[in-house]
Amino acid sequence: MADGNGGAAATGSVELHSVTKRFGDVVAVDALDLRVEPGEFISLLGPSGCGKTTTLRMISGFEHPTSGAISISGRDVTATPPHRRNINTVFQSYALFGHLSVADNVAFGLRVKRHDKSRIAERVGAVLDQVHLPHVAGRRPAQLSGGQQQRVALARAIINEPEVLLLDEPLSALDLQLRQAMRLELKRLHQDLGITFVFVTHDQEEAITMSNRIAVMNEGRIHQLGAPEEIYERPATRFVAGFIGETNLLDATLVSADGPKATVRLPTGVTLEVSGPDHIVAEAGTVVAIAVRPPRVAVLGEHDTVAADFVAVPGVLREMLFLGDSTRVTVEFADGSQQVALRHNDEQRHPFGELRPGDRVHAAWRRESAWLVVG
Amino acid sequence: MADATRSRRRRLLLAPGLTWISLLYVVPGLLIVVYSFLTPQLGGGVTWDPTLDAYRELFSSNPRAAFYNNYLTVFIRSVAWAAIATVVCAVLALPLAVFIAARRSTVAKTALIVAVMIPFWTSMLVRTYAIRFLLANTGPVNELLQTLGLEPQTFLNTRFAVLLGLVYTALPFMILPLYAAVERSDRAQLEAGRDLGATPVQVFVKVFVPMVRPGLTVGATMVFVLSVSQYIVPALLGGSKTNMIANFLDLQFGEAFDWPLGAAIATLFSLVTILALYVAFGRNDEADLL
Amino acid sequence: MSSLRNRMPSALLGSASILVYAFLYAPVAVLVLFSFNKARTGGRWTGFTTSWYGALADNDNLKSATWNSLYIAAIATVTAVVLGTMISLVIDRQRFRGRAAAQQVVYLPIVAPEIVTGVSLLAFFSLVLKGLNSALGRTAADAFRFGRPTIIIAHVAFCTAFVALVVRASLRNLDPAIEEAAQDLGASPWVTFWRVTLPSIFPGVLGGALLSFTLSLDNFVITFFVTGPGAATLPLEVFSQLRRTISPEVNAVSTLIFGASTVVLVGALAVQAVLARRRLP
Repeated sequence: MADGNGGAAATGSVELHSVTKRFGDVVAVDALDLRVEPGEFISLLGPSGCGKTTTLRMISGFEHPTSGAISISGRDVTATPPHRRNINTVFQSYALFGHLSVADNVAFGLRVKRHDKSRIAERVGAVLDQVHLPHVAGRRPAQLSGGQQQRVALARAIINEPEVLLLDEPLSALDLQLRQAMRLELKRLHQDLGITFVFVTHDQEEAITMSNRIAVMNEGRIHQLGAPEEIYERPATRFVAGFIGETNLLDATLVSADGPKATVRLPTGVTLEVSGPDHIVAEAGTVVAIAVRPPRVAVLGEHDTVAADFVAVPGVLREMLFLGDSTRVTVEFADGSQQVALRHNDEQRHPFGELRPGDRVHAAWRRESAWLVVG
Repeated sequence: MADATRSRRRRLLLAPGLTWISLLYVVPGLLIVVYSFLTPQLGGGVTWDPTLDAYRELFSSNPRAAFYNNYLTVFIRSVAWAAIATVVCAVLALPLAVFIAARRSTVAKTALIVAVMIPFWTSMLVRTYAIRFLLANTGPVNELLQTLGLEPQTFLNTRFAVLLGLVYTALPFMILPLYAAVERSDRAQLEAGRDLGATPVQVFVKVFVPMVRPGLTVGATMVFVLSVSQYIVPALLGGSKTNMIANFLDLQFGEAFDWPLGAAIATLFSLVTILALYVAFGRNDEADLL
Repeated sequence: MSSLRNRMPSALLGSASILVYAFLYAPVAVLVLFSFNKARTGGRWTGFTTSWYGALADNDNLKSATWNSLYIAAIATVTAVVLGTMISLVIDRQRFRGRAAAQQVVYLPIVAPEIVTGVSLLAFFSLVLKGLNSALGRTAADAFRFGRPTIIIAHVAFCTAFVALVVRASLRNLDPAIEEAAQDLGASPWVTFWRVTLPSIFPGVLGGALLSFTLSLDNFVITFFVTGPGAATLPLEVFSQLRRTISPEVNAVSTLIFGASTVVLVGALAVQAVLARRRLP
């Protein structure tokens, strides 16, 4: 929509300034600050009830912030009703209009804004091609499959060339195969359209596959905002570490910190050096955690040599599980805490050699593979 | 906040309809209660002269009562007959509901249900008249009896005719909710009952009936309220000896011009009806089955 | 299904059901049959004729009563559909204090026995009419009276409640996100209502309108108490003719009423089925 705003750089940005949403006594969103960059694909990721959908609905205008301000493309829209914001939503239930044909559904936004009739038919055709649904224009939503309905919902949204596209768990109703195919399509669509995508999901694999950045949320707050790799390798809080993929979190006590490196002591007495966030703000004695991803954990026999750059902790091999593509092993330490190792199954040899449950072993990892998590 | 004003404005939509209904149901209802405590005016209406006479007369055995039947008799008769009608309707409706629900083809089911809906939607006056025509002294039934060499009977103006009429008019109101409940019931539970060793009768009593209880409750309540307050059936099929509450009220507000008495009866009757409805629907939202 | 079949022997169920259907239809079937009977009275078949239907055309009272009924039902239905739909839209879509109470009020006309409503309205209208007449100084000739207006006012009340019930059922099946989607696409709440909400609940509104029309046409008891001179409706007229004479025309008009309501019912169901097949996922 042509808008007096000449700031092309800002078009498609979304800013939330200290946005809070209360429902009675429940705080759904707690003083959230977020800036979404123009053109990026950002996911709001978190468990049910974390506030991600509420946040999305405040951006689209269907919920009103209890306090705080929201801007889109530099314009304050906090008081603007949803039908006047230049953004569109793909709803979780698709919300297609049952009484209209697919073509009429897709054309709805343009018709409401009284676009030129002859151009509308053209645009509808073009958009349906873009989402790979060229032949269903005349059908009713009831006659389409779930995947097709989802694409119609997409088409209906993007035809309006919104500044920002909001997607509320659009893939959750699809079966696994379809979901994976749609992830790639959405990614491609994002690249083709070049508009900002704000995507809400509880599926961390989805978020990691598709996003430029992920905002991991819990209990109304953003725990971490960053690129998928950063969130995976360098989680900021225990929650993030536990939510993204499987991770080992070993409790430890902070001994000392120096810049991005720290020394911690495990309950078993072992002292280790760990990498952490740039400025570690915690006092000696704080309980922290070290996060190590299972694929980074090697399991060595009791008397095997440990390489110099590896950290090793003695324990007992408790459990070995065959998982098809990989094998999962649990090592238990003296204090009862456990660590999980995951190895890809190789045709040639058993990923864990001759080791079997009951053996005394060492769980080991490269010093750089561990990450310090404070909080 | 824009949110709140928008919803407040939207709520105004509720006002016209709600006001209309309140004005025609709540206010007149309260008015009747008030009237029950006033004095009748000659030729109809009331004078604003508070008294408990109406209620006193209701519970007395007064010479006037002999002419119009004792009020209590009429009341008890109405409740009793409505109860009988309810039970008969339930007995008739249950096999039918099960039969329809057990059909395998949806076409058959639809046809059978539509066949129940047709009498349901036909004017109650027409249906009651049909019974009257059928049972008249010179009507088709008596003709048939005579052709068979039997004595013609007097069917109309009897308890039998009114009860028949009550059941006849109310039956579809029992079938439809009961069918809905049977259709919705979990067949697997019946199989589970058999699987656990219960006999068919036991499964019926201990599993099936409890499962369709909501449908039974809705149906029974509708039939009861409909029957106890019936006007047309006793008016067309019965006589003065078979008057029910509605006919009685008609008399008080009509020929007898005793509005406070009528109002007192109406008030008590409403209380009983409200009680029945609360017992049936008060706690759940079973009315949503409608 | 088989478990149901095993519960009661099929034959028993089947025959019981046939009996019940016979019970439901026999009286009306006999009535229809005898509306073509030559004999004026009695239950003996003396020959086929359609003269009673012809006689209906000369029965002025019945004709004007029918016209009254249709007129009243039409006006009451249109009003009730508007009021009832508005009620549903608010009660179903919004939460507010007093919502439960409002819901109970809307249920009143549905659960209240007609006789109680009838006498209450008699008392109420009497009072109101008296008050209006004395306030406006009207007497005898131009006084406000019971008649078509009072009937229409009464009918609107209960018709609205039934419309609200039916439309509410329709609204419940509608994804609330639909309205949000429309606004999201740029439609103001007003446009959303006309282009999305209303078309979506249209089958329900239609069903409510049909129910309202039928209830108004067939209503006897309430109408009986709020009617006035010159405002006879079809049920009232039929009832009074029944009381007075044995007239085979009553059989004819009853048959027509039965036929009309059946045609309308089956037609409405057919339309609903067609609409539903095109819309629901």
